[in-house]
Amino acid sequence: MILTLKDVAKWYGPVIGLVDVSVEIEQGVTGLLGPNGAGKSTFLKLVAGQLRPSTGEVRVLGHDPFRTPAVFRKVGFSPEPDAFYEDMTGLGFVSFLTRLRGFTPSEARRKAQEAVECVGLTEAAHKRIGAYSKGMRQRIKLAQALAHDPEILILDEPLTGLDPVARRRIVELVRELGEQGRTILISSHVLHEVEAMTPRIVLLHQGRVLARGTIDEIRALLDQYPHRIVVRSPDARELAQALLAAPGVVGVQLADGMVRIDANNPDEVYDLLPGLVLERNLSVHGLEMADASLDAIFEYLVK
Amino acid sequence: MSAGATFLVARNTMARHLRTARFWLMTVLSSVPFWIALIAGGELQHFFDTTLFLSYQVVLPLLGLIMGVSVLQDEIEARTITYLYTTPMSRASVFLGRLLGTYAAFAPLLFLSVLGSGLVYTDAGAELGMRRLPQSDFLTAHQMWATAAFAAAGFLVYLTFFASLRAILKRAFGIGFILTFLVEGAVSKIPQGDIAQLSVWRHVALGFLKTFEEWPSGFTKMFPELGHPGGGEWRTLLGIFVGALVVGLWAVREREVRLPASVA
Repeated sequence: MILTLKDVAKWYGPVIGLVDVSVEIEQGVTGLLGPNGAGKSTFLKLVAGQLRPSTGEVRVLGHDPFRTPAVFRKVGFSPEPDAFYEDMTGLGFVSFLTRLRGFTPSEARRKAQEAVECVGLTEAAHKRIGAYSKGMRQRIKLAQALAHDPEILILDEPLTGLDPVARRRIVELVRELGEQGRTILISSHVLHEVEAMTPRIVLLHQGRVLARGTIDEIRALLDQYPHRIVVRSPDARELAQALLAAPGVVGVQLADGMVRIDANNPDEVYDLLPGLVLERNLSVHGLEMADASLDAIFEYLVK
Repeated sequence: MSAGATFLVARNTMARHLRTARFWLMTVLSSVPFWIALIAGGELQHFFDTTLFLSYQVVLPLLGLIMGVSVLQDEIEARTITYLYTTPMSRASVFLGRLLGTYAAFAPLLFLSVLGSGLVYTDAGAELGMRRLPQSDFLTAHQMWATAAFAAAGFLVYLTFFASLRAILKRAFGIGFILTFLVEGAVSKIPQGDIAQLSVWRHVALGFLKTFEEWPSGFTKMFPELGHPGGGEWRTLLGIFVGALVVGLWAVREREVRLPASVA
């Protein structure tokens, strides 16, 4: 396995960072999801050798990343903090860090140029980082992680602050790198961003792994929980009343021209609805499965 | 690879120091002995001897504290240390590179300061247009050079010591400050040839407090008490340097760095 955490816990004094985390990350893109404070950055810092676990074991390509800096020949890390040598140019910054990874000055410069081009910063490469916009800063951070052509990429919230065009570009780049066989661990608290890059996720909440697998697998795990269906209707009150006694419906909520139905078996509700609507002469403007998205899955799991 | 990377970090560190206001403050402060020697020499001999002496042995350790803590602190506060610690360089190499870069930025200043101050005692200085200073009973040219060289080396040792302290403690500056003035005051009771010679507090106490009522002539009375650095002091200095370096290298290897607001 490429990245492994076994029974890992991390405390910051009395504050819990991670508890009892055992995860194996395979080749390809894996999204690390969770709200702010879930432990995503702690997880990534442990994998990037910035922190030592309080208990348990972290292995990157079989090595302890805290004790084995040599492993960073094959690992690129884009940290979350917006921190740079502000007076360096973007290209200078990437070249400098690439040289520290053992490349000759000319190799480092060539690789830095390629990485800067890859993230779409060629035109601004010779500008001081201090003059970069938030999006450009994010991209140069990504470029330094990519420049030495690592097998493993660890990206902490890399899409924060990017404009839509840059965001799409980075999402495509991550997907492409994953398809090339690299291992990419990417954190985000914006679920649809991760969904756009990979179906494989690890969900963190309050320092614990809540679920892991593909979005479909996690969704399947949730079959034991009620599914939510939202019906938009001007006759929401009557519809809600009719649904209360329907088989399989465990809860009904009224809200601003819509009915939220919690059902153990949504198919039953779908079968029942047309008959009810016709029978009572009600209008329906829309119907959706509210928990088909990753956001909803996450909400369920956190509950 | 590691030596090359260490050199790169040192070069980057030096270049960054040269752009800071701190460097220019250091330039001004380290030139103080020279200006005192040049301006006050001859006419205010007591003042000159004392101030020169105190500049080296009080101001420089304090600057060593400021610079030493900055070796790691600058990178931690800027959070750029994360980049250095996610390269194949060992943490010890990063620390060494930062330390060497800081020496390289400030050692020339000290060298020029010592050289400039010493010149006013010499014929060479007189030939350069400086006023040739009469040597006092206590501070001969030879003693002046010896003291200045010792103080300059002491600065580098202080710098290393406090850099290592920062590798162990988050609040190294405050603790270092206390250490410089209070703990050293306590250990200054140790006989000559030991750490006493490095005591900032001892110099302050003797220089200002004990002689306050007789200022400025009282300064001269303290000199024999202080003595001049000899072999014992140099050995002590070397011991502290090696000890501090070993502890610093161990600490950066073993201890994780907590960036500001790192809990997530």
